[in-house]
Amino acid sequence: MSGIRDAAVIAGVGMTELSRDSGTTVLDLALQAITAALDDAGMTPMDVDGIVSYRVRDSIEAVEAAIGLGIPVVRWYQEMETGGTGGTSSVFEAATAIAAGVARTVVVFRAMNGRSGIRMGRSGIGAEANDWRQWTLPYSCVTPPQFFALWARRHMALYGTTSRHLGAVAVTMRENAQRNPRAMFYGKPITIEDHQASRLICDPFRLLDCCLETDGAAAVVLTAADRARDLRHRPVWVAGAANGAGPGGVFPFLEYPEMASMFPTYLADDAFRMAGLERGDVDLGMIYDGFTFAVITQLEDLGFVAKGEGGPFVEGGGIRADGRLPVNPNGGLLSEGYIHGMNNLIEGVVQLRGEAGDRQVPNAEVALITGGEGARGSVLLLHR
Amino acid sequence: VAIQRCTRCGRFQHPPGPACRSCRSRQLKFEQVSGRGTIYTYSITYEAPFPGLAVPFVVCIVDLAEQKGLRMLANLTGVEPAAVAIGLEVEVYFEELPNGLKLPQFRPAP
Repeated sequence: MSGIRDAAVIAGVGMTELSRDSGTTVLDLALQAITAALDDAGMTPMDVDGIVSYRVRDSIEAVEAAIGLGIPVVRWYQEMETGGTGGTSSVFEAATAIAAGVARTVVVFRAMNGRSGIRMGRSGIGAEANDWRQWTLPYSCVTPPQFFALWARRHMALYGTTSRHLGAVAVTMRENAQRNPRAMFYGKPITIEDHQASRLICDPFRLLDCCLETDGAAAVVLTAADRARDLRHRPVWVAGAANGAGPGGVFPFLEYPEMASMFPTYLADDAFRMAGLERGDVDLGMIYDGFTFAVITQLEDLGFVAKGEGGPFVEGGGIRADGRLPVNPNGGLLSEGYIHGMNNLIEGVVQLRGEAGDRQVPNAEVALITGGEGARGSVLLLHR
Repeated sequence: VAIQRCTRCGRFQHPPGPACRSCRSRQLKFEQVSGRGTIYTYSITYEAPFPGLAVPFVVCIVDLAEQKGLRMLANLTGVEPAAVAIGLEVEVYFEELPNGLKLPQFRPAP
């Protein structure tokens, strides 16, 4: 099976400033990021015939952005109401549309006033008991830290993972952000003691285990492989992907078999098979880090380390810039900013182009990018 | 506490649904269970998601005794947060809400 292997390339990337208060609308942010991505690709809105975005009751419709850009006819679009999985599954969707020939050049974006507007961490994304929330809202369990603390606790009990292991992820992400002037925590390094002293949000998560909430937007432009030679930058190829849900993959995941393991357990092999790549081919991990713990378990569930070894691996420096598998050189969602995963995707592209400056991972040829946490998510493999 | 059960294959399922997720039967009923189980996992909220909530409080997922993998989410009360542990034996009780509804909750088993 080759699926969509090498049918599409990422031609351009664009991001707005990351801030706590953008002072503008989500639509404006979206148009800024998309315009930057088109400029980066050497294209104009007239080249675009498809668009996709994702949101959690906190953003505009994808087609609103297309209209705002002046695209006369949208031939393919997706409006995805989904969580962090969207950062990579939207790229998978776009590449699939291109592979099928129903679109030729597709814009993928995520735009949000995630700090000054609707805040995920404050349950702004929805606290009505009209769907699965009826099983959690009566128990005052509504925010992402509350849900994912349940996963972390299970892993800690089964494998001896500690708060200091979680802290090692926080410290590494912050260290990486010191090489990234765009990062919200640039110029603000932390130590493991800072992590241990930060206040409890939802035990076992401390403040420094939780990602940022950010105003900003990010966009990428995908186009058909036969256009790869005409691009302004070195193309980055979509090698393979998987997007789905493990058994019982609905919040609060009561029927999911084992919460000490996340979605890559069920999906990673599919992505590698489609891409024709092995774990050992991966030079760079862009791992969805809504919480520190999510990096530890995903490294295991992706097959980079044995189950239960993720904590010692990150504490031993395995994900640092000079480690066995550098992870999130931009500082990730924990320290660069939170554009719902799409900023991690963009870093993966910039790294594969070899344009990451001080934080460049040497000879990065293959990047693995994940989106989402818990039972649902996506795995994307890119190569240069 | 009553949990949805399939009258054809006998499997309990929670949350309930319109059809059995094992055999697709629509012949379902609610059946009393023991309300006994063990803590599968838990969290302790310190930052309240809504104003006016007393913190800290424990959210737990309980493995119910009746069937492997049959789980409920609720609060765990009657125990210091530091004493909560995976595997702790618990029992259901009903909290009376101001609007008259009764909410199943868990506390340590005697």
